[in-house]
Amino acid sequence: MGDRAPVDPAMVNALQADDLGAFEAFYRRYEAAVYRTAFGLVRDAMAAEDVVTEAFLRAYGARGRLDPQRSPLPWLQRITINLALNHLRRRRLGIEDIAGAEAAAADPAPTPDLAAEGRETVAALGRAVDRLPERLRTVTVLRYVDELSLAEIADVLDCPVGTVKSRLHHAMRALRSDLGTEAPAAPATVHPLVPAVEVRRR
Amino acid sequence: MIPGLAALRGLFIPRHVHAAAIQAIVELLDGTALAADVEDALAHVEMCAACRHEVADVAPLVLGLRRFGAAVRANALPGAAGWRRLSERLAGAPRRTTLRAVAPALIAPLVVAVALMPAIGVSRSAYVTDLALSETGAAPGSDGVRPLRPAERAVDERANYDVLRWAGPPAANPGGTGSLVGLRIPGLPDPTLTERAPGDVAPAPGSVGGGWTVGSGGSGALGPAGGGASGAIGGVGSTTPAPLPVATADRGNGR
Repeated sequence: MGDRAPVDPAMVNALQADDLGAFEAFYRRYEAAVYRTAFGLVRDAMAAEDVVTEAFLRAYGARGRLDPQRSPLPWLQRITINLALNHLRRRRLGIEDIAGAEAAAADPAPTPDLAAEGRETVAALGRAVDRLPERLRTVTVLRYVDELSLAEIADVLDCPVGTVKSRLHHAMRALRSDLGTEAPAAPATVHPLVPAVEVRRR
Repeated sequence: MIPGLAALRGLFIPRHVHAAAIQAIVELLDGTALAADVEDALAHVEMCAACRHEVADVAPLVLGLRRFGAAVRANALPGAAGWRRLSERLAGAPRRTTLRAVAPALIAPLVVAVALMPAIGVSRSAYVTDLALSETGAAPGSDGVRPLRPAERAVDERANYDVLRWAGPPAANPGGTGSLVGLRIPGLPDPTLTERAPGDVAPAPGSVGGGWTVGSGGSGALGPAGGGASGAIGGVGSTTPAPLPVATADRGNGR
């Protein structure tokens, strides 16, 4: 993923010299990825924008610690995850209005082809993901919404790859037991051995 | 194959082999699996009924999660006003390096400390007091010294009271410890002047000073024997009248 390349050292120097133009370029480059992580966790457009703004504000405050040898995206995503989880905790306490978030979780407004493939399944899965504990929810979102590899998730969460695998496994088990009551409709085309056929062809 | 026999075969396979096979199938559905791992996993799943059941459960879930991720990504488009909002926040936030933030950070603790000084019983040092008195041109202890302001007097009296309280009441100090301090607080009876020890001799009419000795036991009495000096109270073991410390008692703390 291109966003995971180290940031240009000249940009880092400009950022650390308080160049607002450089910070805008920095923001434009990473905004989409950070927003995706935030939205995947909070599932509310307004809240996600607030989280992204706050995450970049904090990044700006800590720009002196930016390492030009590494991509800043895992660091930005870590900040975003912490802020998003804080937002979810506040929401759970009833501090913020949850009407919009509930609507977003119940209906992620799928595209027409997605609607044709199983809108109910997606909606039920969205609700089940929202009910996961924070740690499991985070890895699930990073894996399936941000499409990060296990190593990249480990980098973002600053933990071993084995831990990420374990959490994903537990997330799967929790989702399966949760969805046992909701019984999501399995896609008609999916059969356990279909991938085997594809692999054999390779 | 007889189903019971297949289940029996599965019992002899280590548990981690089952888990690895399922993991490989999940990664295959995710699109992240290595081909070699998948070949082994598929071979295992084809002969293990339990794992086939497991895969049948997991596969729809993984594919559903991928669809869920795609749906969220389709909606996860940041608004156009994001940078404008952020730049407004940046403009409003004080920068840590500006003087605007540094100056209050330096001054505020000083202001708080000065404001709290009377509350925690800290008064001006003798050096500062002498400096302040020298502004009037009068020597410390002389009559020309500026009278204390009410606030200063309150602090002053509180300090005196604390000293007396530390010394204890005269009754608890039979040796006359209260007279060690030699201070008098307005509104409070001065034990050095009102108490007369048994056996004290009344001042003779016309005698100099007209006072009497306190702390007749001699213990704890301060000041030169025989009295006479300003501020001295009593004399050690003296039975002669001592000068009454009337004129100096108001300035017992040297002011």
